[in-house]
Amino acid sequence: MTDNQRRNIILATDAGGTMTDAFAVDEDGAFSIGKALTNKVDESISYVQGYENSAANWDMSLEELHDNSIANIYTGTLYLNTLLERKGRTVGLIVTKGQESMYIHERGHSWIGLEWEDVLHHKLHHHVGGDMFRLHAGLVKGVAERIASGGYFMLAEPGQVKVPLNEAETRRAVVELLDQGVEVIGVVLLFSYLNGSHENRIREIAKEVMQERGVDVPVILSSEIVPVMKEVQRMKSVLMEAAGGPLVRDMLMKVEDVANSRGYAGELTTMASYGSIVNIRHPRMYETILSGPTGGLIGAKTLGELLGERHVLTADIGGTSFDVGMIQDHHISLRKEPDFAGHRLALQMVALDSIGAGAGSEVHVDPKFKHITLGPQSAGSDVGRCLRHPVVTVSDCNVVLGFLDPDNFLGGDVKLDRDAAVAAVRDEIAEPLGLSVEEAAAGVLTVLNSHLNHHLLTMLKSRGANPSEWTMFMFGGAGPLHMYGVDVPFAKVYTFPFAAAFSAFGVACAEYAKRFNQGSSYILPPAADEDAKSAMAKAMSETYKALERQGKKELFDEGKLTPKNIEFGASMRYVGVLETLDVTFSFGSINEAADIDRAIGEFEEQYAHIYGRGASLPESGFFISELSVEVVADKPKPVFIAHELVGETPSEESVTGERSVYFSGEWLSTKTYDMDALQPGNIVRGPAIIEHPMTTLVVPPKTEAAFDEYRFIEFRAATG
Amino acid sequence: MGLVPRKLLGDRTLIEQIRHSDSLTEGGFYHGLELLVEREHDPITYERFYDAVHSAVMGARETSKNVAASPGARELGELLFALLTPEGHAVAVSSGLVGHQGAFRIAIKYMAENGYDRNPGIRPGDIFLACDPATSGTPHPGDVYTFIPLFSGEELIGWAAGMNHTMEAGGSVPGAWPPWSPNTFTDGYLVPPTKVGENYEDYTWLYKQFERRTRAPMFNILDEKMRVAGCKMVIDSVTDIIDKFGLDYFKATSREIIEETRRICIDNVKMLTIPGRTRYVSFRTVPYKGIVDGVWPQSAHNWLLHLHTEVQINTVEGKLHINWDKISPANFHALGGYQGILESNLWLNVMDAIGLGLKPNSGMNLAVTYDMPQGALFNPPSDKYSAGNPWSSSVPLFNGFSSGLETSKRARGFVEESWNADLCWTGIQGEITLKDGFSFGFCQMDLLGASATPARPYMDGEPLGTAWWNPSSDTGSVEEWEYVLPGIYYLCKNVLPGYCGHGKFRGGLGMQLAFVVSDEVKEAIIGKVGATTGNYFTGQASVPGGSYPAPTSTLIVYRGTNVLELMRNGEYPGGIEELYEWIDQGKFTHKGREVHKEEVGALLVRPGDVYIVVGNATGGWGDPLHRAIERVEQDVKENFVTVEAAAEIYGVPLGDDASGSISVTEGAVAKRAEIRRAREAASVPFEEFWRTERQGVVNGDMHEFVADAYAELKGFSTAFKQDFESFWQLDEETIGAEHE
Amino acid sequence: MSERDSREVLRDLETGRMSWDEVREILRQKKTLNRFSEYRSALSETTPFGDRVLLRVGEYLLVVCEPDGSHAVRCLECEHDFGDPRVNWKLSSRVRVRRTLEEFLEIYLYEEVCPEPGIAEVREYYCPGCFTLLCVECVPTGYPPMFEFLPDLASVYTDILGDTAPTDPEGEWVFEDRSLSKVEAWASTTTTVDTQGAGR
Repeated sequence: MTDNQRRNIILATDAGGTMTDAFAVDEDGAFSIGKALTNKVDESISYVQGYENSAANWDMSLEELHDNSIANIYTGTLYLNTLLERKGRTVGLIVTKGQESMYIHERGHSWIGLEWEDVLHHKLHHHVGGDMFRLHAGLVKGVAERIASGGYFMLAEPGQVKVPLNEAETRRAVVELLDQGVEVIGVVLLFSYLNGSHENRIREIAKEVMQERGVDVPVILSSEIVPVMKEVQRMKSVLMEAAGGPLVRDMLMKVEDVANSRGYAGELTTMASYGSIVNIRHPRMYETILSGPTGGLIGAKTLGELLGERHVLTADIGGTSFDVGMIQDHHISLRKEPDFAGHRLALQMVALDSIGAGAGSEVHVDPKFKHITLGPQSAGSDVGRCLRHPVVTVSDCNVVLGFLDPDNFLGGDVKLDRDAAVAAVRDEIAEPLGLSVEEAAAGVLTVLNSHLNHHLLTMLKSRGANPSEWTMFMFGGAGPLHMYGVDVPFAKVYTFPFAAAFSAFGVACAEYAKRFNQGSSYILPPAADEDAKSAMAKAMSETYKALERQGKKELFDEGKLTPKNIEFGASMRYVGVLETLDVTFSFGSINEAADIDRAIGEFEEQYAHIYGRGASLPESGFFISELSVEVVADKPKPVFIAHELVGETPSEESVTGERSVYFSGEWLSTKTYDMDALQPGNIVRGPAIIEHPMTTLVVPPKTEAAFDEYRFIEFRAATG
Repeated sequence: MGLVPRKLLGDRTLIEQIRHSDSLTEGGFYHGLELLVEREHDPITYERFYDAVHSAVMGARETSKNVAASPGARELGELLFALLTPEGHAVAVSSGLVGHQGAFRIAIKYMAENGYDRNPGIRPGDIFLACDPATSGTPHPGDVYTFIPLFSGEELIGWAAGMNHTMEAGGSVPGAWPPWSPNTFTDGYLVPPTKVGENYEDYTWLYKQFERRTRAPMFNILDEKMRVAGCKMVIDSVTDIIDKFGLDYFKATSREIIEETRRICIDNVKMLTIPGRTRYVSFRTVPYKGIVDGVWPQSAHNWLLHLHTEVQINTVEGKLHINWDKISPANFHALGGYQGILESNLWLNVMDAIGLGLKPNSGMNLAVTYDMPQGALFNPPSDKYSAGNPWSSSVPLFNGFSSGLETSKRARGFVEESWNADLCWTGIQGEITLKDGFSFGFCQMDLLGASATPARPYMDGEPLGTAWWNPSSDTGSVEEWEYVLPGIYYLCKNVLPGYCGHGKFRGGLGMQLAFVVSDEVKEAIIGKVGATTGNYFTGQASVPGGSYPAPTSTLIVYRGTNVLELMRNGEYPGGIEELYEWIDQGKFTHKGREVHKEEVGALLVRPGDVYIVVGNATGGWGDPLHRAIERVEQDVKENFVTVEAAAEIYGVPLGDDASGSISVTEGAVAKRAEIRRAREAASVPFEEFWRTERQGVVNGDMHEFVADAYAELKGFSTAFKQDFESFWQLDEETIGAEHE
Repeated sequence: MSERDSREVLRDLETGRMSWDEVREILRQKKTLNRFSEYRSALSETTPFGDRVLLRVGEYLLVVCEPDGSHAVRCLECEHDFGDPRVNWKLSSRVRVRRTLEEFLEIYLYEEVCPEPGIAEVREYYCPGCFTLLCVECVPTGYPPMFEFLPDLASVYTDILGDTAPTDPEGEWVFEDRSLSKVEAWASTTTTVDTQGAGR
């Protein structure tokens, strides 16, 4: 163990509801994954078990691993589970009087999370409401107060107080909430993102009341943690933070304590949903609630930069779903209102579109109308009829066609029953459809691929993008298995030997950053004069500076980090148009009138690029609804070393055998390869199957898989 | 190109093609498709093809709505894109206002019948706009359709269609559903199918028309841009699909998809229902007397609309037939309509009632037959009748269709798929005038974006739980609406306790929205429409499940209040419960109060006025005395039901009423027994009721409103006359004899 | 419909004992033709009529096959007999009519959302045996009662159950609305009403 040269290791943990994956990547890009059963009572236990395994793979002790690690990122489903199991803290909510039912009516969002077929089935609509937070009417108090927006016509100064805060009602509300034993108070007032004074005053009053009673309960303000427009979404974010945030932070602190006691010198970090690393002391824990799926996009962004690919579309194909994301001009596309367990949040989150069909999806066939439906149910670790799932799945089809080797699934740890798969496909798919077993299995895969392709195309079209300017990255355990199905004319299509661990890899690549979105109400009429612009620029400049200061302070407080890069941007739209566009300025912050013109210029250019010149509407003026600042600090990232290319022909040792595989209507004798044995420069021509303990790459006839200098795999039409 | 007759479809003109297709369909199978050849031959490619065309319309919607201006389109998703056959049948539809696809073919047929293929010509990139209920299927003036033809070379092979509900329609009163509109000339800016652009670009005159003829031109122009952008995306995507699958495949399979859907509906009828006859009815009132008399004498009348729906269910054939032989006649008011409103509603209700496991498209309209008598409310004697506000009357009419099927499905044992179909909506609309005189019209879709869900045989309804006209229901955000409607402040947007049909399972609670007109504006005009308004009756007359139907909606206006002063002092009422307390205490003062259960077109409100809209409640299921005691307790705890209602309606005394010495359960058992005894005392055997009620009928002892309605109905509907007179055993002789 | 006995599932559903997750699961399951028989089994176990239950026509009303082979609508709470399903059962019920605002307010709580007194009346139909509320109707004064559901029993037997069509004393069972028979009987008699409400 003493000869171990691994250095600058980055640790990235994915603590799922069942398993904890402990991923370590060293400065050469080599990685090790340790697994442990997640200990739901104390995750520090599963953390240690996971990394003991991970270290053992490299013949190290946990202490050695920690000693050589320079970053430690912990993500998981703890937040989700805490809330889903209704174990969050008891929240009392104070809202603007007259809005007490927000948590019940949810502005009509009773269908969040349903697939479109189910959205059409009205009886499946159901409000999640306050159930997850154990919230009921007695815990929601309204207080009279009103902040004005001024509307599009600026009838009042945005943020002007229309009704002063009713302090007597506030006091009464706090008393009543404390009487009911709330553990935390959340405050969500209308338009508080334009003026937080009432929310602040509520906290002061609450603290006074608490002092009188000798208690201390945290008070969480929407204007502090999520100062953006749309009250219902804002309320949901406040509830998430209030109910779950501190519990999750406490658990992460435990993990950090253990890591420190076992030789890790730094502080623990976690992932924010907008794709950056934050310290676990981050004051807005709800921003980490949906961190899981971000890894893939961060990894893709990193590799896109390495490969010089500006526009990358990603598809993460797992057992139950595929998630499609975009990186445009090296920027990960974000979304402002992601859905989480039936709730729509106000939260900057990497934009991922999820389709409820994946490699493990159940296949249902309506015999009369010959419909094939995939998912949304999935076999999970039961794989399919070929293992122990009662319903035929996509995996069964892959086994039937020879794409998956029943004796070498997951590196041979699990033996699959091909006969059972054939029987299942025959009985449940082929016969009802009047097809042969092979045709039926191939048909199911065609349907899955077609879902994927239409999804990719729709995503591109929604950005006015031309596929030939884009590169596709496929990953996830089943990414390589299905990449031959991509039928969109991309410039290039790639996968990676570590496709199955791509998310964890991506997490390791993440940057350390703080992102702030501050709601605003700047309306610039079409013929605004210089004075108006100067005044606006001055006000914006102040906000930008304040956010920048806050970001720098948080970075310093949490790890004595200094920023290397600060990005400024805004959510902008034409007045009257409701869809905003998030623009990151190329010129830095806004400080003077000319910057306003620059900002508008960049907004208009991007708008026209997406929606066409005809959609622009400068004559109605511009509305700036949010200002954003991202403060980025340096963090070590995995480094990829370019290798010398060897010849195109794979070595003899890389060939593991030969089997019959069904490709476009016929059974072909097909060589199988060991992915780990293939070298930079090798080209595997189809028909071929390239196997890895965690994934399988299918190479049909007339296509090839080329290993580049980083051993990244380009999938393309055969060249030779 | 001159005005030469063009055979756009090979050897047929458009109208020849439509007649050809209709004649093929007459045999029962859509377009004569007895066999679904492509599907049988290769079900996989068939599914891929549908996936492709469906993605095309979904993608168009998701993308183009970002261009859209009006809050209805963008924020609430009140828009739709579809791919149509050359004859106008929808093959695939996007999410959004899904029902309209049922009406698209009416506009296409109108263009065909009027030789549009010759003049003005139908060419690639041409834009056709339609918003005229009498000619183009658009249900009401605010629904606007845009069509762009899809060509393969010289051949017309389909259409892209886009629609949305616009903010303002330029009618007699501001908004998009003018409820005070006696005839078509007051409905608004109506456009029969018209070529409004070419090469995917609108003519300038169209925007100038919007500017001159509507009160929200900027929104309307942007919405048109959105529809064109979306249609263009559909055309582009489908052109790619044709390249991939081939033209012949496209033509054949598009139609098979429609026929397949029709067959699934038929199958669902066979599987889900019990054969027989169902009848449900709703009543709506149109009180114009005293409002329009001076200007429109033909409309100086108070109408009671009889929205009676009989459904004949045949499980052998899988057929549903709607018989509307007892419906009210058309008249000069805004609550009538044309075929488009029927087709749109039909689609929505088929989707909700029997639309399981299918590809949503025009096949659903083909699965049901109906008779709407000539001269009836939705089949007026001429095209001069108003269709200003037909959703308000047609939604309750079609609730009768759904109620019938819900009853029948429940009888078949599909408990989970039943509810009482008492769906509803309430629209607020109007015009705001700023201090500088600038004004703009609006529709506020807070209570249009979602209805409460009705009670089911196993669970309560929920507030703002669904909207079957827009499955992705959304009422928008208060903060967004205050940007769009500046100067009008929400005092509340909350559920109103106890405001529902009570039952073993409650209906969904309705909402109360209270607004104050601030001194930031000069004045405003407000109106209220909707499927729970315009009536002096409950939502439906009776509901499946037998419990109380939904209460009606209302608009309450307080003039000249002191609320702006209260607000300056940090106070305002947070809902009508508190408002009433404050009035009693003298804390809230006003100079006048109006209550409008009926639909209201235009009320002028000024700074300091408060108006409250109460709506969107649904009906219950089962006897309230059978409600689980814990549920009643929970309702009281949540402030969904008052302590008084818990005791008097549900028979569960709680709080101070409950004596400390007995448990809640014991108290409830006693109270419920007492209520049953009270029911006995207050009721009579039906025969006795029959004799007394009959006496009232014979004596003509009823409100003029009602007496007029019976007279009108008996004159218009033989079936009604017969039913009415035979049930009360009336004839001229009897009446004469009894009067003597 | 699930691994659990389908009758149990239906019973739990109907009594509101299921969680939303379970309900959602049932809503998503593929519907099957055998539901009718499953449901009848469930009804036969939970109602006093056993296998004689044919189908449910209301929350508290079942069509039951009588020992003599005829069919009747019966209350599942108290077995009260409403007679031939082809005659609107309301004609055999007890009625309470609400006409005034005060009476409306007892059930609709707010004056502003009540039916309009003088124009509308609210009728509550009760079972004469147990005074369970069977139906509520809000209609104009003088409006004949709605006959919401007239099932075609012959078709139920032949098409759904694959059985022979039922007969009644006159022979072949005919699908028709026979409500008027009752009304005509009342019209032909001038005797005072049976105030005991004993039904048939």
